[in-house]
Amino acid sequence: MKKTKSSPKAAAVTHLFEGETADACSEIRKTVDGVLRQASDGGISSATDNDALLTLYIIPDKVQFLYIALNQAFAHRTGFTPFGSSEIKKSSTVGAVRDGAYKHCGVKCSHT
Amino acid sequence: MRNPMLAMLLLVVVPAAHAQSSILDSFTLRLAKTPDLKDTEKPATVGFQRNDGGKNEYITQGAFKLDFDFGAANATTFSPNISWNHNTLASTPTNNWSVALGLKHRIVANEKLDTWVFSGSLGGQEDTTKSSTSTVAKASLNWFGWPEWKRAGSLDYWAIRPTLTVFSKHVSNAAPDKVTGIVPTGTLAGGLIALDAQAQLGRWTFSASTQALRPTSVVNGDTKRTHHLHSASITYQFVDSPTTGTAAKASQWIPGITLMRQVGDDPLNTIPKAGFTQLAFSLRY
Repeated sequence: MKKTKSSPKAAAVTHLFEGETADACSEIRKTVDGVLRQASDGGISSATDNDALLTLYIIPDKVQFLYIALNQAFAHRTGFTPFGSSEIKKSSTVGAVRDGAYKHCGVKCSHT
Repeated sequence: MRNPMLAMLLLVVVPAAHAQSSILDSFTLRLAKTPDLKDTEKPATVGFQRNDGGKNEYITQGAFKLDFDFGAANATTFSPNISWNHNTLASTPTNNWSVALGLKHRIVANEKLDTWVFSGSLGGQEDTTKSSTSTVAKASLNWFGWPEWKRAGSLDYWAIRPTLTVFSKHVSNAAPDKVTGIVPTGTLAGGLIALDAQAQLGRWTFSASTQALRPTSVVNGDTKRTHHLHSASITYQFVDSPTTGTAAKASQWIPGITLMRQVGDDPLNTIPKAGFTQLAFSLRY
């Protein structure tokens, strides 16, 4: 445990969501970060700061296709409403995409 | 659209039209230079133009497009649209209108977002200068993959996008040629290959495109030959791109000034053979 606490990466993957939706929020965030990590050649991980930008890692005109990858990743969730084709802009942050995923899954989360 | 001020007014009106309601989440209304199939950003323009003959004229061009997403993963979009292209050049004046129904399907090839985009459209064009009307059917394939470059930590990047298109354009009504008397009606059909390149370095954007159109059939009085169209432009935007912030404040209009050079012709899109240099104000969303 001492080793885990001293590691920033290990600490970051422990999502401290609160309330009844904590488990669902943690799962959604893990899925979003997984899609972004693959789309960015590993440039975005679950340890990425919320203010980091998609445009730091992904060709701007490819950001428009992230919505398909996210829709496919969440298709199995009951009540999930798909992202629109122009919903994720090249100026969107990782945090904004996570918030969008919570909204499309119909789940309120305590933080991004 | 003979009045450039009307086009400017449209640019101002559009932000309100872009708003989405909870009922119409699948709809997006946008203004662009053309309701094109390439997914590249092409802002509407109203500007001043100086052609090779030294004559100064105005040009306005733009398009309204409504997007409706549907299908698995919302990967298919239905896009009715209307566009105009008005050029007051005395040697080759144009005043074109077009309406079309577009359909686009996107396939993410792998997790790195190498994406294939299949597009099709059916529409009508009216050239009020030549009193001609036509219907156009097109099918295109775009690949958002190789080659590209991205510098981490900034918006700087460059990319090249290839496009393959097959088309059929039927001209049903046209004025006779003043010299030969031939009425240029009939069907223009064939294939088109295009390469679009774009690079962004800070506030500067460099764009270039080249295309070759080879007809398999042509309208009456025309000859089969390969048509080339080349263009290059440089844009300076007056404000930085929205690189930070939340989704709520990230979207904004970016004004800029664009210098463009275009040479060649494109009978599919009613672009007459000409070379011109254009200086225009642009607004990008």
